This record gives sequence, C-alpha cells and structure tokens, in this order.
Amino acid sequence: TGTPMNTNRLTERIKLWGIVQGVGFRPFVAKVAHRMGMKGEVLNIGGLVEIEVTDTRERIDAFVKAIERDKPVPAEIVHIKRTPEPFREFDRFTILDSDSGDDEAAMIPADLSICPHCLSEMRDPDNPRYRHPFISCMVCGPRYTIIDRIPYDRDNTTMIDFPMCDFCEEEYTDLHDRRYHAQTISCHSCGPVLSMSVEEGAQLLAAGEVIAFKSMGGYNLICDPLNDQAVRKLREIKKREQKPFAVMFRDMEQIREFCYVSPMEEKLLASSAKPILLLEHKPSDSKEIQRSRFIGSFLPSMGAQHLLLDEISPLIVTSANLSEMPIIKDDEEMRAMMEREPLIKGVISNKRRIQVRVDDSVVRAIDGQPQMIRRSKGYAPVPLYVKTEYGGQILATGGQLKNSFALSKGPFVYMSQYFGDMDSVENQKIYEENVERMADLFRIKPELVVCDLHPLYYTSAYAQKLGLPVLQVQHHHAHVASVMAEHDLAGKVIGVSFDGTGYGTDGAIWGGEFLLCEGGEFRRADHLRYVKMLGGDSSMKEGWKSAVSYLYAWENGYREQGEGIAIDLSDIIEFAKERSWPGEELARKAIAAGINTIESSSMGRLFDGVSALLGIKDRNDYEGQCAILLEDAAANPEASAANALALEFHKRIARVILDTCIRIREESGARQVALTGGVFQNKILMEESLALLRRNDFIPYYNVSVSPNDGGIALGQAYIALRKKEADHGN
Amino acid sequence: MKITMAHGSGGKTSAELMESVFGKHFKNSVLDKMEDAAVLDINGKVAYSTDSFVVTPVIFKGGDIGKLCVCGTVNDLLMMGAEPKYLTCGFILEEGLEVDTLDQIVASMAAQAKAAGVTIVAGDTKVVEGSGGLYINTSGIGIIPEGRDVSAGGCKPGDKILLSGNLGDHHACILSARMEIENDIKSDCGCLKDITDALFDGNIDVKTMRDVTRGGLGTILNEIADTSGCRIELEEEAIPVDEEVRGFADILGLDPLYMGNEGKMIAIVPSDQAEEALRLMRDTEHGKDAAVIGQVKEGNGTFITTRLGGSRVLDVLYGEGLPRIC
Ligand SMILES: [Fe+3]
Ligand SMILES: [Mg+2]
Ligand SMILES: [Zn+2]
Ligand SMILES: [Zn+2]
Repeated sequence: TGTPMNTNRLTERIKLWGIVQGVGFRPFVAKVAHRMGMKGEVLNIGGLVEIEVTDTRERIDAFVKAIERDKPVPAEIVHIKRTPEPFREFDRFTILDSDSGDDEAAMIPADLSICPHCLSEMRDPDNPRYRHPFISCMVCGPRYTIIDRIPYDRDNTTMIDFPMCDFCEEEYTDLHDRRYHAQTISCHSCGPVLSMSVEEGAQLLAAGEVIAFKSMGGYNLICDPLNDQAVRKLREIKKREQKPFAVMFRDMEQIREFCYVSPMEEKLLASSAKPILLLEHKPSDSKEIQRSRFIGSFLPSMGAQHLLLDEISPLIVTSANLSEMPIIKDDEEMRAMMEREPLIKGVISNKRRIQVRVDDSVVRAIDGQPQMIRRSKGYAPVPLYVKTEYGGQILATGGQLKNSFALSKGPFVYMSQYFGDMDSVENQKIYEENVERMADLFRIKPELVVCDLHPLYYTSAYAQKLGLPVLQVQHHHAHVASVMAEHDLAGKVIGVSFDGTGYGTDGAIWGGEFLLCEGGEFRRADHLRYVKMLGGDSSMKEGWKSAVSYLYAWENGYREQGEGIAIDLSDIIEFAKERSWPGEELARKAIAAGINTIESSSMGRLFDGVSALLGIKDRNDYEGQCAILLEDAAANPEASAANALALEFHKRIARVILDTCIRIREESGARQVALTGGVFQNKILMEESLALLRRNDFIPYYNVSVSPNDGGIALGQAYIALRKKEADHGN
Repeated sequence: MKITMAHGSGGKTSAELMESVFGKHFKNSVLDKMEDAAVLDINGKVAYSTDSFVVTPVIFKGGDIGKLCVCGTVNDLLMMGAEPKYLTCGFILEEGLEVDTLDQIVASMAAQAKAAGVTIVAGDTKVVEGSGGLYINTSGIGIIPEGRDVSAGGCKPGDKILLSGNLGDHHACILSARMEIENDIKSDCGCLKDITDALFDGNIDVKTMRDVTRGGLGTILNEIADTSGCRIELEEEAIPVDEEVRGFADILGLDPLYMGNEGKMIAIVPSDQAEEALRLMRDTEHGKDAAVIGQVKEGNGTFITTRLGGSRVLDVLYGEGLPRIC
C-alpha cells in the first residue's frame, strides 16, 4: 500500500541500441538526468546502453524524448526498448561500470566530419593543432573507413601506423579531456602529414589543373568549376561527358551565393555525414553548375579539405575513378592512375590507410524532408531497425545497379555502403570482399540469402553460389518493402513501385507497378499496360526507342486493348507528329517483327519516351538524364509548349496514381500507400502525388533513410525475408 | 512448279524430282551407284559431325541455305583440324516450295561442296505439309592428319586468341531480310578452309579452333574457358565489327558478341606465333579482317576489358533482349 504518489511511480529499464558507446553517451545521459531531476542508473552492456529509472510515466517519457533529441553528435539511436521492472527506489542518478554482457548487436560508427570545436581549434594560431589537417576528437574523425575489427580501439584502426606522441597520449588518457579515448587523436608531431601543401595544390587548381586528393573514403579528383577548361580536362579523365559533378563549397555563406537553401537543407548540409545535397541553383556564370536544375552541393568534412577550400573555393569534388568503376582508395592504385593519366597534375595525399572505400552520400529534400539518394559515407554502417520476432541472420544481396547489400541480425539491418554498377568485375570483387568483411565485423553468419528474381543479376548468381538457402524476391516488391521496413507499416499497403526495369514474375520487364502488399507477401493489383519495346541493356538508355515503342503501340491499339493502365498520350503524340529519329524505321520494323523485343510496363521508359517525344532529350548520356531534364522542363511550364506538356504529363501520372489507388482501396480497404522506385526521385511527381493522395484520405509513405532507387532494394529484401520467416514460424 | 505431297510419295513424281534436281547437280561416282548406303575407304582418325539448317529466308544476301548447310558442316570438321571428305544430306521440303528455288539451292550446295573439296555421297528427301519451307540436315566426315591435335581443351595460359573477321554479319543480314530492310549487310556465310589451310601450311601450332556460330563469340568462349579450365580475357576495342552492322545492332539492342555468324572462327595459338598466324589469316579471303582479340590466362571465366578500361564478365547468351538496368 503506497501513497497515491507512489502508485503513479514505476521503474523502467530503457535499452538503447545504436552508436551509443565510445561517444560519451553515459555522461550525456547522466547530465540529462541531473537536469530533469531523474533518479536511476546507466551502464554499458555489450554493445548497448541500459538505463534504469524510477519516476512517473510522463516524466520517463519526457526523459527518453530528451535523450533522443539532445544526443551527442556522433551518437545514433537505432532502437529504444522500454520494459517494466520490479519497483526500486534510487537516491540519485549514477554511472555504473561497464558490464561486458552479451554482445547483442555490435555497432560501428559511421565516419564523422570535423566538429565545430576541432574546426575552431584548427583555425586558432595559438592552438597546438593550428592547421593540423587531421585534427579530430571523441565526436569527430573517420571511423568505418579506418576500422579493422571491433571494438573500435586505436589499435584496431589504421591509426596504429601513427604512435601517439606524449602530448596526444596525455589528452588521450585524461578522463576530462574531450580527446579522452579519441582513437583518431593526432597532432603535427605524430599524425599523418599532407604530401603536398594546400597552398601548392591551390596554385595548380587556380591554374586550371586537375589534382587528386585523398579524403576519408577514397581519393577524389578536384578542379575549379568556374574554369571550363579545367572541367573539360576532368571530364576527359573520367570519361564522363555530361553528368553533372558535385561541388564543394567553403561554407554555408558560399553555398547561399550559388544556391537556394531552406533551413532544413542547411541542417542537412551541416550534419555530421556532410552529404552531397541536391540544391536548386541560382543563375550564375558557371556552365558547370547550370547543367541541370539541381547541383550536388556539400561542405568539407575533414580538416584538410577546409584548409584547401580556404585557399580556393568552390571546387568540383568527384571520386577518382573511371565512370562506374570503384573509387580508388590505395596510394598505389592512385599512383598507377596518375601514371596512366598525365592530365592529373598533382596529388594531395597522406599515409593514413583507408580500410574500406566509401563514396560520398547523396541526399535531397522532398516534401520538406530529407530523402536519401545514395546512402554511403557518414551513414553506413549504422543499422536500421526493423521490428521482428525472428532472431536469425540474413544476407540480402541487393540489385544490379547502385548496389548496396544488407546483413541483418535479429531486428538490426546493417546496410552496406554504395557499390554501384555490379557489371564490372572490379566492383564485384570489392562487393564480395565487403560482404565478408562486414559479416566478420558484426559477427554475422547468414543462414539465409535473399536476392532479386532477375536471372541475370550478378547479385543473384552470387547468392546462389554461397551454398545457403536462397529466397528470391521480386524487384518491385522489394522496393515497396523498403518503405514498409522504414516506417514499420502493418496491414495492407498499396505499393506504387515505379522504376526503369525489374524482372517480373511473368518473365516480362516490370516497372509501373501497383502492388498490394502485406507482411512478406504481395499481389500485383495493377500495372502500366505492356508495350513491346526493343530489348537489351543498351536500349534502356535510348529514350527515343521508348518513344518509338510507344508510337508504334499507340498506332496499333494501345488504348483499345490490353490489361493494365493505358496512359493518355494523345496531346504528346500530337505534339510530336513532325518528329522522327534516325533509325526509327528500323526500330519500328523490329518492333513489328518482334525481333529482340520485350514486353514492358516500365514507368521509367515512359518518362524517357515522353522526354524524347517532347524534344527535350532523346538519349540518356547518364542514367536518368531524359527523366531529369523532363522534370526540369516541367518546373518551368511557361517557357514553351513542350515544357507545359511536360508538367501536364507529371500531373497526369499523379492522377493515375490517385485513381488507381482509389480503385485498389475500394476492393481491399487499404489506405496506406508506399511511393517508391527510382522514378520517385522526381520531386514534382512525388510532391504532386503526395498532395493528391493526402487530399483523398490516403496515408502516403516514401523512403527517407534508404534510397527509393535500387540502393534501397536490400532493405526490402531483408524485410520480406524477416516477414516470411515469422510467418513460417507461426504455422 | 511447286513441290506437292506427291514429290515425297516415293513414286514417279519423286523419281522425276530426283533426276531433274539432285541428279543434275550432285553427279559423282558414289551417288551414281544408287546403293542403299555409300561405301567409303577411310584410313586414319575420323572427324564426324552433323548439323541441321532451318534458316529463313532460304536465300539471302551473301548466300543461301544450300551454301550454308555445306559450309556449316565442313567448318565444324575443319575446326577439329580435319580435312573434310564426304557429306550426306537430308532434305525436308514443305508443300508449296518452288522447284526453281530448290534447284538454285541444290546447285549452290554442289558448287560449295566442290569448292570445299568434299563429295556428297548420300541423300534423302521428304515432303511435309506446310507453306513452302525447306530444311536441310548435313553430316560430314573428315580425316585428321597424323600428329594434329586441335581441341577446346587444348589451350594454355599465355596463348593468344585470334578472330578471323567482323562479328554479326550473318545475323544482321538474316534479320534485315526478315524485316525487309534495305541495306548493304551481307551474310559472311563461307567455308573456312582457306584459313585453316594457311595456318597448318604455315606450321602454326594451333591449340584450339571454333567456328563462331549461334550464340556468338561470348557463348563459345565460355565453353572454351570451361573445357580448358582457363580464364579468357578479351579486349573490347580489338574486336572487329563492321560499322553498318554495329549501327544496325545498336538500334535493335543486340550485342555483336552474341550475334550469329556463318563464316567466322577463332584460333588459339601460342603467344610467340600469334603475329605470324595473324599475318597468315589476313592473307586469306575469309580472314582479311582478322584480329588478335585477347588471351588465355590462369583462372576461369570469360571477361572483357571495356573501352573505358573496366572489365566485365562475358556471360553465355541468355535468351534475347532481357535488360537488367533499372
Ligand atoms: Fe528498381
Ligand atoms: Mg556448327
Ligand atoms: Zn572534433
Ligand atoms: Zn601528437
């Protein structure tokens, strides 16, 4: 029998999974507890942090919220689990010694960009680390890219090559120093040094040369974006003709000179991952920056980059490799490339080895939220949490392009960094090494492999050769499941899965799919009407072939017959009636004769085709170009009749989404909608569809933490496997 | 006149057709005996091969099914290092076939056989219902000279791979004909005897030879890599393809590496003889566009170094046209 006050109070255990160790998390929790007057204790157990507190439910809720909100920069909370405990009275809040515990889920921090504190020290002439390019502390510096094995200790990273001097050692061992146990600690006398001064590098850049630069996840090639000749050299080196490059700016001020930046975008740019953010640019003299409506913009993430950008800025910063090849990480590989390529006039390198290559991440804002486009540096290998009863371990091998794989252990799904195009033998080799490396790091021994249904994906063949049970998952189902995983969606979900190409269960090429999904299962509720298209990977790049395929279909009963949704293209085809392409006659005859043709419901190909029909772009010189330029045109509908039609087309597709979802809702009752697939990187289509769906009482979801393109497939694959395993278990 | 079911009856109409078409073109001492089977005097190691030919249209730019069915089987024998000697042929004719067409094809067979130095020693004809089609099966026997050892498993790491000429001509020609496209693409249909003779006469120690037919270069190189237990590496840039054929293939989304040919071969030779072998090949009519396209290495699988400098796996042909990219 307690007092009324006592009956309201209870004891709870709060378990936190994520990057919570080695980031000053326990002192932080103690500080919050003191501030809020909470009583209890906190300790590290295995890879997680456990808190026990006694208070009212409301106050514990507020406490947990404060921890989530105010967590230290490098910390990443992947999951919180609260369980009731037998009532216990505490007289204060204490930090207990760590308990080795069982290692439920190992976590490795993602790479952290330089923190404001270190940055100001680096710029302070009185600081011993004034202008030290590798300055870092407990909350900043490389992590995943230099680690060999867990635990994350200096000796388990490539910092082992740089024995600490006495000065650093003293800080490293001082409990009250912000470099206490900072594994990447170094200074001018003990740390890595730059092989070429930033001043010298800046001189070359100012003279219009291209130079190489070793950054966190690999080597970059850099040059002045305002110097057309320099950019031309870079394009020649990379054999990349048209695809825009990302540009690194000195600071936020400078980004604002070139681009429009919302407060939310500012936060993303400044976040510890320092992702490349696609921003709408202002009019400027730089042809390079004007290439498309958006420019990939980012801020320096390490001291050395700040030092260089202080000398010359902005700079194009792109991975040192040939198009579609892995980013170079080893000094020897870079030397070899420089020997082959005299256009690279110098290199700012250093002797800190990179253990694993990680490309820069790419993010954009859509619907007022961040949307991941390429999840890599600064995010990998922080896991995602997927609620599940299944305790087993799974490997999901991902897709063929923009590949990234996933390893899961219970509810934690570790998404790998980005690997790109799995056609290249070099990427395949690195992919395989990384699957093994990550399984090793996280002590995961998969008992099941999940892969795509496509018989020609390298990742499907790889799955087959591992000698484990294999689950094949349909491509567009995996896209939808990636959204279900991210938002923990229960019940029926209408998946709107739009992309370029995925292998369907009927052997056709899918890509404009409405899938009714629940748990690990799906039913194809509707789809874009099949059109006979010229086959082969190369045809997928030729927007004009999609245009001719649609023209042919249009003239041969597309509207009148066939299953699935027929899109009204009459105005676009009328607009295009004077247009023709060299090769059109042959293409038409091949389609008529069914030579090397496929049946396809691809939405990506329809966007390409419309882009070509409107005379906007008839060939993808880089992936997605036709659709990107179609969207750019739609953003400016007053400029021309073609642009107006481009916008009308976007709106029409959004209306088709709504109408189809309404029909599916009528028969199934589903109100949740997942918009996913590469096509939904289109901001206009996404925002228009979201608005229509919300206005009509749907609850739309989309990818946030993983990419809507094939980079997110692995998460969906893992999710489907988890749900199927649970269902098996239930039976 | 058109073929009717009566031509396959075995009666008088059949006999007339035999005499007026086959008899006219195929006259030789073995056939003239009109026995139930040919009796052949053969000494030494024998190569023996068979193939069926079902191409449409039966007459195309650069050849016809008659020339093709002789070259196809003769080339298969040649690829084993054999000297082709005898052929048999079985015809399946569909009702409605023009006798003139048949005559033209049989004449073409006879001419090609003569050029290749083989004798047609047995034959058979059947007529089936249909719409004027024509199918031919040929079998052939060749003799492998003493000391010659050419096989798919014979190549070793270090050897060089020679290709006798442009890829995809036959495939592109047939597709053009089927689509009624006007262009200058001609089938490469031809007999490779000039090339093999040149190589052997030039004392090249040829390890492996294969004609590059259905499934294309990609498919046969995979077979060779498998059989020999070696890794094969090609240079994309070195592989000859006619400009017009490339343009044609690009539009259809076809890869010349997987397109069929009917007069192309690869030869795998020791590295130090590659230059000489190439010179010999280029001196022949069928090998004038020959090129060294790659080499044999330790390991397994077939790979191609792309123009951009990366390498990718060259798989066997898997159905037509299935795209993978998203
Ligand atoms: Fe996809
Ligand atoms: Mg053959
Ligand atoms: Zn710091
Ligand atoms: Zn030091």
